[in-house]
Amino acid sequence: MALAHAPARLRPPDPAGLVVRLRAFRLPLSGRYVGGRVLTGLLAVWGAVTLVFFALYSTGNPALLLVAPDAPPEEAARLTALMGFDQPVPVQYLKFLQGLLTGSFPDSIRYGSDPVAVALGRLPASLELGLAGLTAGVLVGGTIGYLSATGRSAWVRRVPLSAAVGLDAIPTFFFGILATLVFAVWLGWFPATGGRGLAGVVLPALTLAVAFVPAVARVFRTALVDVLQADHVRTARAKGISHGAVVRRHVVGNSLGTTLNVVGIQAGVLLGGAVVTESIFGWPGIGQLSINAVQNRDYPLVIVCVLVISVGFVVINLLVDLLAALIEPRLRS
Amino acid sequence: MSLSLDTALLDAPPLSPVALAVRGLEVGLRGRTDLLVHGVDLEVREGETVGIVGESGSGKTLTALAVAGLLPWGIEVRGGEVEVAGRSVLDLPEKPARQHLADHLGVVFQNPTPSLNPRLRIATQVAEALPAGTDRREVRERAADLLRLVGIDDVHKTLHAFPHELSGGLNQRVVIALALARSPRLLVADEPTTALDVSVQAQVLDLLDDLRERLGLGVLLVSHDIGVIADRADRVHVMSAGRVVESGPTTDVLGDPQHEYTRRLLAAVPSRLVRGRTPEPPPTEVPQVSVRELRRAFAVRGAHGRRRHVALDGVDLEVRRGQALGIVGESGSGKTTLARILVGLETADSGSVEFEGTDLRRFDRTQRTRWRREVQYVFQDPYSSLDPRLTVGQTLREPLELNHVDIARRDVSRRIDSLLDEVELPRDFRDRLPSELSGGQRQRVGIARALASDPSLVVADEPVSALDLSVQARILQLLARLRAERGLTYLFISHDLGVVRYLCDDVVVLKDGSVVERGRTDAVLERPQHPYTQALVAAVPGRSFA
Repeated sequence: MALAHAPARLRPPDPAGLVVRLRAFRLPLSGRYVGGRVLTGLLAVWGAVTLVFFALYSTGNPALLLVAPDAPPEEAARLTALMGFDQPVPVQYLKFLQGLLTGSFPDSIRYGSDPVAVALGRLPASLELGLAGLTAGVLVGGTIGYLSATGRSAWVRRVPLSAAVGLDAIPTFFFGILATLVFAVWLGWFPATGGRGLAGVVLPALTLAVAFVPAVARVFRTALVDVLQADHVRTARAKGISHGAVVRRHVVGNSLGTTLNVVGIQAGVLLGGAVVTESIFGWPGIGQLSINAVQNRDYPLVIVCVLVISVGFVVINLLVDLLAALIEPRLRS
Repeated sequence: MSLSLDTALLDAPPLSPVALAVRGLEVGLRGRTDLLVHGVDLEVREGETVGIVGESGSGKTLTALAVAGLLPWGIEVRGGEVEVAGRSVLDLPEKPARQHLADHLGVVFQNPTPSLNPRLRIATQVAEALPAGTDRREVRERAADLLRLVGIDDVHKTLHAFPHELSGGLNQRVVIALALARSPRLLVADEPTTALDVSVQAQVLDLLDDLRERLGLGVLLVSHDIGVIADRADRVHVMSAGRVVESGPTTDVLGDPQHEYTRRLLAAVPSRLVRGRTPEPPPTEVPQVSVRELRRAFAVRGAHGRRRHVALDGVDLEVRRGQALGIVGESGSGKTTLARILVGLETADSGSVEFEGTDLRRFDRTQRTRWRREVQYVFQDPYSSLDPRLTVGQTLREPLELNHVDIARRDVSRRIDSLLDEVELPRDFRDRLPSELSGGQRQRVGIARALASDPSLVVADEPVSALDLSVQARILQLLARLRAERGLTYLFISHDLGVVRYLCDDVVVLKDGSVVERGRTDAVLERPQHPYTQALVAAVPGRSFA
């Protein structure tokens, strides 16, 4: 039957419509939005390094550690003056800020070279581990969250999520050691420590991901359950599109926003907070470097490590905000 | 004999085909035996509008959703038959049933904006609703045609927009376009205009009527608003507690109701409530509240950057002691902003508010305390305006103890009892939590909380709009009684002209932050002078029977 109100079948292309469409195209993000985010990020970096500067200062004069315990006091005083630790704190702080802005820092005490180069040299290893851990965590956590929200049987909905929440209770170092024992010592599949490359990254990345899976699974599940009950999902069902298409197009996409925020925070933690994992597996990343720098009281290096980690944190969060605005149009305006 | 019967049948005007037939529909919670909908029968023919009217919990929405196959998770059809376009859908397996319904039945939902996916452009969402296998090159044209069909002018801009960039009325048109995408013969409209302003409501209902006529659609119109049903439905089913208690042609049912429930429902319509005459307030020299040149603007972030939204654009107002003044306007008219400034929840950009002759900004500490006590606010939403962790007694105790520092403990307890008496709640309700109360009971607690401070002026922002008709009528009667007994001054904000007519002597009509008309309520509503007031009055549904 010809439909009474079926729209006309064929029409010439509508040039006016095209123009309107082109004009209506908007950049997904305003410069104002990005600018605001960058500014808050810079403020956060400044806050972090300032905090560390004063924390280090309050622990005493680092120059004293560099001189031999039996050296004459003049030697200690000379070194203190040389490194500028005899000046008033505000002056030291201003000098420090000046160095921060110009990018010049006092040499690392332990390595005797530019601490920025030292810290950046460790960054690729940290990024490699962080990305591997993040990917594994997002994939596993996302799958568990998805199953627990949409699974048809109660088993599928409950068992993986319970397992993930159980994992949450296991400390990173314990899981790392356990994994080393099983997969490296007993089974010998992967190197236990100091390994690099694909085989070397598996165990540390897995250990990192374990800390990460429960949070992603839970948040993603909650978001999915919320969206599944949303009015617009009912509208989509009323359109008669298949269940799978409803879930793919209307549920998963709309659930990514909140999940992404959690992933962003966790990703920042992965970058700097992989300290334990890097130590267990002897991974030459920035986490291990900063621990060693603290132990050696290598104060220029500590500051630079904190700087690199906090800048990383800010960059990751900026990326997350940009991504969030891409998948959530309401944030753009 | 049989021949004459045949002739009689032939002579009768041919009935249009049945779009929907429901027989003995039963709906219940999964895993429980009791029913939420008990055996509903109804029939919708093509080209006619059939209404279901009832209060919340009557099962009217469940009936509509069951017909559309969209019951929420955990609620299921228990029995009966649903026949859409001549095919019984309950016997079909899930997938073919879904498909059949999508092809032959369009659904229009209550809240237009949340009914659209916030993440996708309108074009995508309309395209998705088109019949499977629509040619790709045609999709955009067909989507545009659908939007034109529902009376959207700027089709291309709308197609490119996200739902949050469009108004509620426009979004509801889009939802209707989605419902029509597969050229169904039946529309199920579940409270399609409840979330919309009066004038937009009239436009959307006109559109539904127009589509019904032009396309010969059958429309199942579910509404709590008797006025809407009276204006739009050819036949009506009145539902209460999961059952149809009365049905028939709309004029018969509403004009000469047979069932007790229908009669009670009709008696609760605000414009039909019998109002007791309140004594004329004594003229005083100093008005209790006087507002001069009040202005307030907000910065809003819209689709095209930030702009200023002017909520109040120079409002002058006077309220005499003992007066009940209604403030009427549509959403965005500034009525809530005005109320919030009057009670100090918001500050004005410029202009002055005087309470008994003194500017709010020039209050000393004692005056401020007194003003805080004398002016009380009753909120719109009885669900969110009570602290869920405080019992009714604790909620009422707070203002009592705050305002009467030296009041004895025993007296507090007595006052709580008398407040509960005053709002007609049982005294043992003092130990209940808000979650254990109905909407109407909560609003009574909200009123009692306002009364606890012994106010002289009560500012009420849409205090009955979230309530069912019969509950609304009882709360209105309560407010009228309290006013007479306590000599209260009311500043009563409402979008509902009937409610204002019942409660208020005088009315002020706000539009875009300015007063467009003011005067005695009866005069303004019966002989509106300003075109906006005229449009507002004309848009009120149910004038035909009120």
